[in-house]
Amino acid sequence: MLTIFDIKRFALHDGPGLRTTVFFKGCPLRCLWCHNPESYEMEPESHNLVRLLDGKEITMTRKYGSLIKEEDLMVEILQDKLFFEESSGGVTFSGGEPLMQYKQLISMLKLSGKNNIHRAVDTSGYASEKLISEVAGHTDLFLYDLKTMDPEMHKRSTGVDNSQILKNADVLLDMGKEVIFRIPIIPGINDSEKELDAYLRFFEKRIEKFKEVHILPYHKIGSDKYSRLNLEYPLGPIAEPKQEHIELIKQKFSISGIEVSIGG
Amino acid sequence: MLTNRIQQLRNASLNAINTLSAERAVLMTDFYMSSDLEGKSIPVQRALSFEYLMEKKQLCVLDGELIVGERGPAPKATPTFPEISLHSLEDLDILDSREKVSFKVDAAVREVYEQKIIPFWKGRTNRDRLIAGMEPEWISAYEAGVFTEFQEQRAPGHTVLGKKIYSTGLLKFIKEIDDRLEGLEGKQESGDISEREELTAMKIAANAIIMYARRNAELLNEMALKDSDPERKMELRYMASICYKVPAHAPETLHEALQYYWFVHLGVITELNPWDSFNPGRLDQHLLSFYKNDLSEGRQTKESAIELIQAFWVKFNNHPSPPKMGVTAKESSTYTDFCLINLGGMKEDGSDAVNEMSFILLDVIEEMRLLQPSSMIQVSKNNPDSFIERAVKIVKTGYGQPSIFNSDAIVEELLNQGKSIIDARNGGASGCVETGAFGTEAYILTGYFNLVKVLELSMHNGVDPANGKQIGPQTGSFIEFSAFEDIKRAFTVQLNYLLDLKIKGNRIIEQIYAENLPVPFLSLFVEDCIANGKDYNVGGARYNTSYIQGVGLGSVSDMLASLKHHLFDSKTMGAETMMKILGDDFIGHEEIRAELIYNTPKYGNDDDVADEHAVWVFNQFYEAVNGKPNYRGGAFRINMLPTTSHVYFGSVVGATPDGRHAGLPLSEGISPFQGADRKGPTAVLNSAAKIDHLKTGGTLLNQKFTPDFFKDGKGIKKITQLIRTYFRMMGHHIQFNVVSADTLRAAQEAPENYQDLIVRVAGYSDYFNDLGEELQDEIIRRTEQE
Repeated sequence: MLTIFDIKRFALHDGPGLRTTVFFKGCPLRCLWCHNPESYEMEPESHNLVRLLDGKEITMTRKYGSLIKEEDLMVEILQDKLFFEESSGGVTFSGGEPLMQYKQLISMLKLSGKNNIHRAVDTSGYASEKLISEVAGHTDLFLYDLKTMDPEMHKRSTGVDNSQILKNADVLLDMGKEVIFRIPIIPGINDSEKELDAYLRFFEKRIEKFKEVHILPYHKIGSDKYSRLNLEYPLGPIAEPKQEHIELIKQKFSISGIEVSIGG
Repeated sequence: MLTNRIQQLRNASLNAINTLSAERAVLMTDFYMSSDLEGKSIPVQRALSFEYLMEKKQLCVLDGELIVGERGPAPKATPTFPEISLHSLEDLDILDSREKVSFKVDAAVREVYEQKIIPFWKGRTNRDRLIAGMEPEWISAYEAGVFTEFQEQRAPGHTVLGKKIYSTGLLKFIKEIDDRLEGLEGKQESGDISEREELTAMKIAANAIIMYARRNAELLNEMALKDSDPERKMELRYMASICYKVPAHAPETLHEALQYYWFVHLGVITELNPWDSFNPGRLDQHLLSFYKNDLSEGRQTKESAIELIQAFWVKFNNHPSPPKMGVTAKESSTYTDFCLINLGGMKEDGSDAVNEMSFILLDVIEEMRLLQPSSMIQVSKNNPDSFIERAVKIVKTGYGQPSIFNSDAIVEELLNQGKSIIDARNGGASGCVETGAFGTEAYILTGYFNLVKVLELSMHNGVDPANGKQIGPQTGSFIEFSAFEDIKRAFTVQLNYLLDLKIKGNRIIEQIYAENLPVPFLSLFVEDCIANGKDYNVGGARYNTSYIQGVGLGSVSDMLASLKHHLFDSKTMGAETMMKILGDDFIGHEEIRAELIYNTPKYGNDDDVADEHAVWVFNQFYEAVNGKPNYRGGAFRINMLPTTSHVYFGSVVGATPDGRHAGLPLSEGISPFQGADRKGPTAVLNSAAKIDHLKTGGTLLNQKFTPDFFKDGKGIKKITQLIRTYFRMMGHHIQFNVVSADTLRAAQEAPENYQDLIVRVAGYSDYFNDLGEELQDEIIRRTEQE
């Protein structure tokens, strides 16, 4: 059994081709800009949801998260097998942090492998070296978040240290795994010149071992969810990054054959 | 870039006002009043009336035109067909003043209608015969909105031209007829519908169009004499020479091929008002060799050929569908006359048919951006991705065309209906999504069928809750049903009863057309009418199909899923409560309505619990219709498309257990109910593929995307992959609407600024401004779902 909070089919930005993304519930990080706050806790939860219908406000209960058996989840993933085949797509395990339920994650990866489905894991990399290596043995592609290079800022804005995360990135690269680095661009957190230079140095050193970087510009869309969940939005009101700035960042990272795309 | 000439022709077409022209009605009246028809058979009478029209009708050649021939005296001057149905003075007022799809009627038209046309045709139209021929039960069901009847105001049509005209002039057709007539000499025949009469009528009709082409040639020569521009003078003379040559002789150049087709098209839509109009079908296949020859012999450049084809394109847009009234106007509220150009697909030997002309025509479609003709691509396994991607790039501009069809499915559908492999591969789709063997089949659409109304009747013991009238048989009191199976049983009984009524009615209607309104001109062009010596409306074609189009599959499926879930599985409420809240149209029961909408299984989410009902209803519908004999020696078949009838059908159905308010539109085609699909397009496609498309003659699936989805090459590739997968599952058709809700709302606010806004409605595209407010709202709602 594992706890998930959503299954998104026809996911277009979580790896190659047409994909189904499974969102695991539960996360050890508390990123200030998180747009999936319903993924914090591993326990399924219910919240009230107010819907406008015929001019009246109707309060309904909405469940966030459900327990599902691995075999049942596999059945649902397999529903789009033909789409995966036609598009060289597959399944992406995301979250939350999928490594938090690593046993279940590994059995999902194995089951998917048995069914010849391309497997991606979208992770913060926050786990032990042993654990991530084990997961890597059954994974075709990592979407690997680098939230900020500055250790202090990382601690402050996500609640955890980034030294293990950076170490694990090298573990995966050294294993010869295909890794796409993903950087959320959050104004005021990781978009200063100093920060960007730090990213660049990190990439330059590993240039032989990976090919792709995704820039994910911060989007206000997440803030709406907090009020629905009766949570305070920790980031407060900030502006979305300017298109020109994002383009500049893209140019900056486009070094010697690294493919940089915006939005995954 | 459009040339000046094309810009001018295109603007003239766009700016032309739709008017009602009395010319044809007057000529038809004159003919029947003045001619000595004593002793002449009906087919010959009809052929002579056609000849009379082609001889007397005013000619119209516009500045800069390259292809000539207008149905009325000017672009969008639209004739009426009083022998089929007669417009009253009141009708003329409605047509003149109605907000949508209007036709301006001037005082002179009103006067001639009052003085001449109405007095002559009153009580003598085919519509009068047709209504008189129907049983009271049929009339009740028709009035309740269980089904519509296409042939009430429009002649049987729905046929697509094959390739014969591109190698054969009409003089050869006439020779063929003469040979057959000679063979008949001395043989005894009885009755009016004899081979001899049919063939004689066809010959008269063939000569009539040759004569009409000659009249155009003479006019063009006269105009050449008067024109002061030396270049246009030459052009007019050249066009005259073409009209002397075709359609009498086989075409040898692109220009001749296009002009020949256009004369045939014009003849078909002047002879009667067939629904759909007429269609050249696989145009890229037909035109390729002419184009190549023109290039190699230096007659055309690529640019001049494109200009010529664009001039041809404008002609379609000049010809709106003839004025519709009443239910017919509601079920098909549009100026479109459903000519659907087919590109791509497969050749007779099954190989890839995509060619240079396919791409040229896609360029033309993109540049012209006209309402008519409609366009589609056929996609077979053998076609390259580059072809789909090119088409998707046009779809992306928000124009709603071309729509996308599965050639491999079309071929299998046709084979299932007993067509030969060659005839199947020469087929395609026409109208909205309807499958046909081009050049060899009369596949007549007979009317839409309201699946949702059937379930409503099943829940009311056969009584229409709108007025208490008994429409269907008594199948038991809903509140006494003890199991879900009881509902299904009642539905099956109602469905079969009502479809039998429809089918019985259509057999009579086909006979009425066969006996009273044969179409000798159209018959010339559909194989094997000449060889059989039999009219198109009598069953002369090689294949004779009658279609009934099911509407509301998604809605009826959601209604059944809701009844099963709430009354029997979870038992959240009893049958009496359900009937009460539906009777109240959910007023005061908003919380229950929210449950019905948000916490009830819905078709379109790849969930078998909901989708099994769609499959079940589909199969019941199929069993009740498929293979039943029609009057013309063929069979009834089903397809699943609505045009705009889902709006009309919704207006006659009360609140439904899926949470839909009384009177609102139903789901369209095989698409999920608006907004009911919440798991994205792959789930929709999987749900839609659960019904067996190959049992149908076409299904319609509408998917909407916002423009940003298509913004880069990656997005276009992913759409292509989506299409390929759906077609691998043997889906028949998919269309994409690329619009944002804000754009549409702005267009509603200030229609004057959005006159060019075309949206995909359901199997066809239409000007957003020409849609009724309800339909506009529905499209906005659907757009917002994303």
